[in-house]
Amino acid sequence: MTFTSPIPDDVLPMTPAMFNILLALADGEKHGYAIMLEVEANTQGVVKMGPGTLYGSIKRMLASGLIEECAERPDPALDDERRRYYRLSGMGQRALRLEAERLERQVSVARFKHILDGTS
Amino acid sequence: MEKTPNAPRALILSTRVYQALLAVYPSEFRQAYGSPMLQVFRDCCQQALRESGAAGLLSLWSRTMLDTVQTAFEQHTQRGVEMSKEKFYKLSGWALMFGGLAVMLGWLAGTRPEYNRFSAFSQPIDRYANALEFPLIVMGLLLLSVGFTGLYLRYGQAAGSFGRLSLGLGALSGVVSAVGAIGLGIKDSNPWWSMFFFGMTFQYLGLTLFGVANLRLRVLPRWNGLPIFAGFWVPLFVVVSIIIEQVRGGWAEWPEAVFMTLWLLSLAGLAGLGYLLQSDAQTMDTAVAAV
Repeated sequence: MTFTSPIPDDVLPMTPAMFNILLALADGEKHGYAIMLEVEANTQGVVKMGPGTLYGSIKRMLASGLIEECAERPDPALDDERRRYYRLSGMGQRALRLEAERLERQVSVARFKHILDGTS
Repeated sequence: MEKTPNAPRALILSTRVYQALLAVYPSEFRQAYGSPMLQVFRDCCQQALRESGAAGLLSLWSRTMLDTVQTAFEQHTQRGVEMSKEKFYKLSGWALMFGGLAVMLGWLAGTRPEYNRFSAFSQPIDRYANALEFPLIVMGLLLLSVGFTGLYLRYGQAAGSFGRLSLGLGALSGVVSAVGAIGLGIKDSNPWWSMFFFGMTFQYLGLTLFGVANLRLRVLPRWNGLPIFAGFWVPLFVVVSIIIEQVRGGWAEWPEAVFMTLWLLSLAGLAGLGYLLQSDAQTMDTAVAAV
């Protein structure tokens, strides 16, 4: 029997910072600064997270089980060994999918009301 | 933070100021994330200087100041809430232990005959037992409700909606039962008796149903059968007694030894749950300090 732990109630809907961090981690493990850069790139520079927001969200997501800290560090010759790397957990992947679906439904409503083509 | 030999003065100064600024965060948060935050800030400074020079650094500082004030406030608030929760979990652990004990002692006091100084069967202790019966039961029922609230807050989220509903039913029924017990102490009448009796039945039923949800989802750190063990016998006793009453036409008389054994088993279960809540709160203490 496979056991999947339920997603905590206070996780969904997510804060924009949490959603962006999870999205940044969707294609592999990253350290804090790499997450920050990816979020900035993914949002065309609209979202610029400070270190406090970044690590405050990371702390919360670690506690909720959405992300995990990677035990293995990359080769110190390739990267700073003091950096901490994070990756999505199984629950984090599920929560990210649910949140993306929720946002998609909202966008569908906006599309239905012609918000996006400016004809309303 | 290591100093890069060719680092510009602005970069070194900025990282030093930010390092000092980290003092505004709670110490646990700073210990856990201060170093990576400083490193990220340093990376941001390097990027800002490289791309936009002093203007970029100024812009970064304005954003960082705002971010620091906002997130430091959040972390302090969160820490306060976590501390209060931990204290409440510990308190509700004690409430489960002493609540179970008080209800059992209340029942025990109720088994004593009414004190009569002229009766050879009356003992001096009966005077105190008679006086303490209802206060002990009321206190016990209310303490158990506090304990159930602690279980709800600590494990409710993981126990799912059925588990939460069961614990909510248990906590609320305990209060209803306590009100019934107070009413009974004032005036011995059927409505008060029903309120007390069925309130208590639903209180223990709530615990048992939470135990069922718990067996399925395994939300307790260990001893997952404890809620059923502590709670099942009260609703079971009521159902069996009602069936016997329907069949025989009269309320069944049970030996006191049977009750005593069942109360003791229930007390052991409640004490175990109380211990779990307390030890879990201590684990959280350590975890919160580490995060």
